[in-house]
Amino acid sequence: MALILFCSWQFVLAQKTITGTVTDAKDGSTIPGVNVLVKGTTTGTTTDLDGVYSIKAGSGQTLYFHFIGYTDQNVVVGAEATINVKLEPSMEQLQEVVVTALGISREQKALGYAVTSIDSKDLTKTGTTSFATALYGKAPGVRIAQTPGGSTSAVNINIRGVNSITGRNQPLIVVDGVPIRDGEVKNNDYWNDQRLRGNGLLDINPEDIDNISILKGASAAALYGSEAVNGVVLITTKSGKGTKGWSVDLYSTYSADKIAYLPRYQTERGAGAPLNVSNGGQDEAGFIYYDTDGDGVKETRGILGYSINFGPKFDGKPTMAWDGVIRPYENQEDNYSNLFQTGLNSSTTVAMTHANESSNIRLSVTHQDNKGVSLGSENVKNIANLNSSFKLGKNYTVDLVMNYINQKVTNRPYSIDRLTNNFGGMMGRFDNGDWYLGKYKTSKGYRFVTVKGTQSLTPDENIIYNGMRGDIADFMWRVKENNSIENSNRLIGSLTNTWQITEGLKLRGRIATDYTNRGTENSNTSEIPLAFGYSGSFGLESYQNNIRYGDIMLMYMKKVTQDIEIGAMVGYTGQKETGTSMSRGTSDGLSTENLFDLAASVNTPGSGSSRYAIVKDAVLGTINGNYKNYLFVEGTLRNDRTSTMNPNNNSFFYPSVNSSFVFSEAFTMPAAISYGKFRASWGIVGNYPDMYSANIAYSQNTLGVQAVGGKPVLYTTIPGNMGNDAIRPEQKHEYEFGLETKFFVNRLGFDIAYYNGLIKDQILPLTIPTSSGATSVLTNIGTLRNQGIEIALSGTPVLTTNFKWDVQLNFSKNKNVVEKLASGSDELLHADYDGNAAQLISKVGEPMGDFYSHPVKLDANGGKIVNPDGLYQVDADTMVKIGNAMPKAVGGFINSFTYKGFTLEALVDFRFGGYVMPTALNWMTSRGLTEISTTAMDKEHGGLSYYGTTDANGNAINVQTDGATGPNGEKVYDDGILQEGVKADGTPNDYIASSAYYYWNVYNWGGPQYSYSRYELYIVENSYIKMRELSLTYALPVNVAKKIGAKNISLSVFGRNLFYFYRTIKDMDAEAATAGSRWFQQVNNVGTNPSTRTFGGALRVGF
Amino acid sequence: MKKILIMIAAALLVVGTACTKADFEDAYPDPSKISTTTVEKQYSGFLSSNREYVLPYYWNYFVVLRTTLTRYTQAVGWVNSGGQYVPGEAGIGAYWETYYNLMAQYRELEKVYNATPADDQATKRIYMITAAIYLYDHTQKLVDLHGDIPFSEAGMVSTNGGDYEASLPKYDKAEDVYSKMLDDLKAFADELNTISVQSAIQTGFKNQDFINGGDLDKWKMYCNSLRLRMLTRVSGTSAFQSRANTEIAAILGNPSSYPVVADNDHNIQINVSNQNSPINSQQFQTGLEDWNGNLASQAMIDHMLANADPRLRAMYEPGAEAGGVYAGLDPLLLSNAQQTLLDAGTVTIYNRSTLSRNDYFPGMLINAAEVSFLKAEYYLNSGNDGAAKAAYNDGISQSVKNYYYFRSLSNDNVAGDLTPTDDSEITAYTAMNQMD
Repeated sequence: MALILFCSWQFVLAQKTITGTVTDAKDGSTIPGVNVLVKGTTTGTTTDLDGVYSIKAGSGQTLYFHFIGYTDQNVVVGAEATINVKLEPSMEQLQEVVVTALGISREQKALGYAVTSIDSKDLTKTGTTSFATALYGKAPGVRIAQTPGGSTSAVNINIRGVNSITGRNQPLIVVDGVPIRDGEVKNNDYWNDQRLRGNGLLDINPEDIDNISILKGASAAALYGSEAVNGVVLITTKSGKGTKGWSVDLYSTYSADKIAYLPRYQTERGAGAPLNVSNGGQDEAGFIYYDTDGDGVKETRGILGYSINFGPKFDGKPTMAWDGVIRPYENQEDNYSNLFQTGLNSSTTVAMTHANESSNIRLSVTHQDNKGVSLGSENVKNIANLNSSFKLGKNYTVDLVMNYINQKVTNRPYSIDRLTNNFGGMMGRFDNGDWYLGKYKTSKGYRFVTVKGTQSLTPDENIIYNGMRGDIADFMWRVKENNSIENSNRLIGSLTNTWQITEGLKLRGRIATDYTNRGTENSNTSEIPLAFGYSGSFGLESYQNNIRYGDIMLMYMKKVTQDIEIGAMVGYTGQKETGTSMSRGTSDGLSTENLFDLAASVNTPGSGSSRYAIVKDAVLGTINGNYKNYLFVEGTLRNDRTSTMNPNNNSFFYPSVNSSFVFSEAFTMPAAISYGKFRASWGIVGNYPDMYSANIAYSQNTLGVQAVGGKPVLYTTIPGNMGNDAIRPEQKHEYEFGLETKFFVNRLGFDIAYYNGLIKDQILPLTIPTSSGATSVLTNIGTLRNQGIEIALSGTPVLTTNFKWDVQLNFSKNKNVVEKLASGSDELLHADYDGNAAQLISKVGEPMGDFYSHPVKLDANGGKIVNPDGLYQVDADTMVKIGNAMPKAVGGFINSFTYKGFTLEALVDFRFGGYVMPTALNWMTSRGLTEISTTAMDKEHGGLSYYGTTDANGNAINVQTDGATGPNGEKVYDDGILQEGVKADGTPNDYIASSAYYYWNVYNWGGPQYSYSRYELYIVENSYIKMRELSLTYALPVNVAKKIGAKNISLSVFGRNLFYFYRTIKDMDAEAATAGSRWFQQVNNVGTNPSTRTFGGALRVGF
Repeated sequence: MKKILIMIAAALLVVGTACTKADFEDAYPDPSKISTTTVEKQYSGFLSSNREYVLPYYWNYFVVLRTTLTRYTQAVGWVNSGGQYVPGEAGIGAYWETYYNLMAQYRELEKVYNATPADDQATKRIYMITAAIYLYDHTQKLVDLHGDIPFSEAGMVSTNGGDYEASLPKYDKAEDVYSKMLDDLKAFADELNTISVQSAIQTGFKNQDFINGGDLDKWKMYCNSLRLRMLTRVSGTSAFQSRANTEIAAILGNPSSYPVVADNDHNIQINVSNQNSPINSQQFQTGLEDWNGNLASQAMIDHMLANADPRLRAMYEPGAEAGGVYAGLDPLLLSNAQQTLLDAGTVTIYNRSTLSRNDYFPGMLINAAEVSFLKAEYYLNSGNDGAAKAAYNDGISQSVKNYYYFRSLSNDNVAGDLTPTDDSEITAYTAMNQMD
């Protein structure tokens, strides 16, 4: 598309030919290969070997001269025919450097592998609270997915597909050369943890980031060895380098999160069911009646207390709601959203930089306040960042970087698992979140009480009318009355010493830490009066994590001849991570109502604790060289050790080689080609086993005292999941080719990469027959292959003095194949859902993560068998593949328009392929809550007319009819559905099912032995094209800014997660199923928090 | 000088960050686990590893039994549905896997025992005998459910050092498993009569054995009662018939050498004594009551009503809306009709106070009533009708008393006070036509 646009404009001016010579302003030598461009046009050329150019331009047009390593120059064409130009060598132009492994900066052109570098300004345009969520669509081959819930919810980064079948899938995060604590999370485990957790990368303030380098391939990341199978994200924080004197920047942003992308709810009917589907004592119309005035006459209309919503249609007539208020019987708009709040986010950063000849400092302070959509949740952060560098003498530099994060999280978002993955918590249409807010506690502050006569201090307030969903009321009680306050302090700091020993020889040493200390207090309000029993609880938790890191490196660089330069480096890194957590909580309730302290424990407080340690180190070396600065080669080798493997067998080698060839500098290129580079690389990276999974040890526990006068019965057991002392790390062997080109003086750029990675020795807990003595044994057994292409296309279709249009398209396609599993086994079961209703399986020859489910049973002639109740018979004995969980392609499309001071930027991101099974959505259909469940609900919706009778075998069946009543006066219903298929005797089906019965049962819970549910319908492709970020920025004219003493001022408004251009699942946000760090935790659960849409504004001032 | 200082500083940095092999060794194992154990601790770990299938736990009742054995035996009533006799994988697999976990812990016990010095092995022999008795009790149940099972080579992966390919066990023929168990148990019965356990060992054994509290007499009874059960089980087969007759006669003919569980005081069971320990019965309620898993079957209620069974009021309670009338669920009704009865609240349910809400319900292994019925069967088959009837009536009496005993343990009274029974009521029951 961009190419077509290039041809779409022309300037017609009086043209003449201009020639000239370009020389170096310092030494007067001519410069070949300089890009010369007529500004605002596509006309461009480059200087020849003698530095001479020739171009057509008209008077008044501007010639633009550009060459890497020199300052750009503009010359306005006058009457002259010869324009000679002297270019100033520039330090700034050497900025085309990229941070690579171990924080070593290298020239972009010297790299033989793909690195995506993202600049600070691209991270902060829409005020995202985490740098990771600012990366959507911005880097080819990188897929981002955030757990809904707001700023405290974890964000996943996947680079080049999934590289481990059961192990870690998240990249290593390195800040200023130091690996930081990131941590995995599991937010789909409601019964063990009701609040949504985050990962460590959330603490890095996007405003403090100067740039991010993403090392995608094995060669790029080879120096990180067994930590790098999932790639590496290198973050460099802002510093005062390259500035002079004082400067101060102020940045402030404010935004609001609104709940979005809820299912398409039906709006036509309330709780209940037709009489012929379920008789709960309702009348023909579907209502029941209460006697509210005690005269013995049931006069007030009410609804059934059903969780299914196939009841009477809304008629607006007075009806008793569960909270005792008589209301018009109507659909309640936004009733579900009323269980939540609008999220509000604000962030203000003040940064000061100062630099002089011997030092530079940047100090920033940030205050963030984020309220999530979960009621009462708030996250307040204070971040201080110091980045300083001092020259001690001529050859010695000390860099000190400190990042301090003080955080108070009040009530992390509460999981909505009970509202989605649970029939008892699904809100009907004649129900409203607002009603729960008024009723979840009694006027005396205790938990709501149901059923007339149940013991309560306020018996009149007992909930006695139908329609309340107990699990919603319970959710409301928990969200409002269970308070959790987390206070944490984190310090990420590093001290780096660099000694330039002689010209070309440099010694660098670094020590660093990432220390986190967190204390949590959980106070749960008393639920019942003390007179009735003990309730409520209080607990304390403390958590500490410490990473100690150190490295030392000796680097050498020498020009051997005029054309050949070589370099070498040897180094050592060591790292130890330790953690402890302890908790103590009241037991069996609080002895005094709402006295939140351990002293209030009724019985002896319970406690828990855990601790862990991981040690890693590595010796590494690189050797590199270049010829004439256009042909580069590099080889690296790392030998590392990790404590998660047997100490006698934990040392492994990771080699890599890469080469780049800048052919545009080696050969004379056509004028259109400004830059061209070919790159090739190969390397090995690894993934070590999870902590403590390899070691075999006994679990020890106690059964307590079991006999009078006895001692506690201590016991041991050997675990069913056997470790393996001989385990090796997973190893990815990957080769990669790439081509990077720029055309028309950098107006158009292509970067294309092909990679092919074989991940051997997959660490799998191999399932073995339990009769062998264990359920699984840790083994190195599977092989996985990821291959794909990554394309980055960038262009500037329009460039005039006042208007500029930039386009960037990032696209990546990854193909994942399981090449080998255990000998004698060609599949691996990851999960069995809901009593064998569906399975997640990896099979040899297929991508990981095939969803299997039971199909409809076919008869001998291939006809779909329909049961007498009108539903398809599910084939309990077979399972077929419905879809695969791996996304096929992801990317982003970025358009940026600048007109004078205005910049409009639009980021669209997309994902194609990859199936998910959002069970909860289908269960909502089973409850009659979604739009689809109204299909055939009556004649207007296409329902068939039928009456109920009994067939010869005594089966209750429905028979289609045109009559007003059945042949024996049976009542005729109009909500019939007829399934295409055959009956047991092979004749075409004519059994009718009630629409209510159909949706209730076909989308119900459970495998064939529990239900008629067809999970094959639940498994659907999850593709989308989304308007991810939209921002409009206005930079005030400099003279206006000056009036208030500022150097620059800009204002912006933005939106995030705005709308879909396309999505295959209409009833949820495409990321709603992201509930954990590992891939198989991202395919099924939609019970975290509602998704949101964000609008906000920002102000940026530089002094 | 300055440069030397700088070099020293650099060297210090390296030393400060360098990791030693000891660092890796220390961080390899999980600090909360242990690398070695003892016969005593592994013995209790073995005994407790299937406790959720001995005590009434949720999974066994709700997932395993609710859809399998209790239906097949009509011990419960349920609402008819398609495929109702086809057990789900969860119902079968859970029991199988629990058995092989028990087996794995047993093999680990063997491994630990075999690694101790020979003289220690001799003193700790009692642990191995009693462990084998407990293992065989559960092995018999698995053989009876599945027939041929992996046994002689099962559970060896840890013993084989993790070599899982060498640890895939063969299936043993059911007859061979029975023969092996019967041989061993016979030998144990004699060995238990002669074994002397050092008092130092006995002290530990008494504590670790939470089934019989180190009581060797009870282990003898457990062993011989188990032999009786197994022999009776195979007494009708040609391969075992003569052996069964001989050995049962030997056991019953010599109660001083081969005592069996003869009264309720000697029932072999795991008692719940500490609600805060993993040995408790708190999941019985959800396990039995969820999804109406506690409905009475019509066959049971009709029989008990017709014969004035004294257990009726202890085992069952009428439906909430039944006005005190007992009525089991008719299995021949259409499911709609059954559901209507259920909704009306007239179907009898299992007594919640005696059973499902009895937090002290013991984990039953072998009781006197069962042994009495085994005796009765033997006497009947050997033509001794009088002895058979006496044993049968003993069994009835022991069973009735046992249910009233369960209720006496209970901390729940939701079913209302239980009218006690007495011998005359029991005698009247045994005199009923259908019982006589």
